[in-house]
Amino acid sequence: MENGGLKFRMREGSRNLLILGLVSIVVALVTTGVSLAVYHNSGDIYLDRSRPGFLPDESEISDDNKDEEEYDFGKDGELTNEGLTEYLERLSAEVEEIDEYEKPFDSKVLSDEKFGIVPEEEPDDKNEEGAE
Amino acid sequence: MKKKSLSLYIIIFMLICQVFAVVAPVVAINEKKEELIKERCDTIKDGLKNVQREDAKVRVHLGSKYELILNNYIMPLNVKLVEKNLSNADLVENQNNFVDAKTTFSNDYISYQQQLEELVAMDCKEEPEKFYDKLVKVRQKRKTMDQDTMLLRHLISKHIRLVTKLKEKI
Repeated sequence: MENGGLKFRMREGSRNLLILGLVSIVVALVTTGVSLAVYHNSGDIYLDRSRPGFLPDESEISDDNKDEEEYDFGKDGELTNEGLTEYLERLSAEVEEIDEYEKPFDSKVLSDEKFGIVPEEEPDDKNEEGAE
Repeated sequence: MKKKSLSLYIIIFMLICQVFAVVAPVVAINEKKEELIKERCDTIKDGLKNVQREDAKVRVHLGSKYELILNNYIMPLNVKLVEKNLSNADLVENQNNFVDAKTTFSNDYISYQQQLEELVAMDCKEEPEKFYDKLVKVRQKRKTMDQDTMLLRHLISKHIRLVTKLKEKI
């Protein structure tokens, strides 16, 4: 009788352990699903370059590291003629880096010609359908 | 009475037209184009995926530059001007416009990428017409992105002009 009671308790304990494990897995799946949904729907996924296929190139990484001393007018600048001259010089250098991309979101990238979907018979009609 | 019912008919007709305008595809494509889309479907999709990757690179580069210019240049200068009682209304207004334009740039980029992702997920072999319709929409979103970057560049130039003027006064 005592033996049977002990067996029953052990079986109940292992069943509880199993339930705990399953509940933990379900909770983990639900919370991960919710997190991924928020991550996707908020648009953060499109700003994240750590996802597969979007990792930065080696050249980009070395470019990021070269600029260790970042100019900050709040700390380094003074409201004098010389201070503002330096400010404008530093700012112009940053602007030059922006201007490296002449047309960063050029519409030609998505044109019919780019994808080779302009029918040969109508070369004058290319892109007429709302491309511009 | 007749006039009232006539205007009611016109309103109903306009509403129906609007519904169809939303539901119907924006563009109608001819059969040749449809065939070309079907034939080149895989190539087009590869091209679109490349565009996605390149855009991510451009956004990070431009986004970090805009952030840097705002946090290390534009805002600290205005703070120092306020501290010295030299606050410049044009510079402050330009800063506010820059913040708004930067937020718009981020939001438009998310919206553009969502549309682009939907386009990549579409089956261009089965539904070439819908695919092309979506492509046109993505182009429009990309054009908005182009306008956003031009506006931000314009605001930076304006800031430089205003600071150059300020420098002459100090």
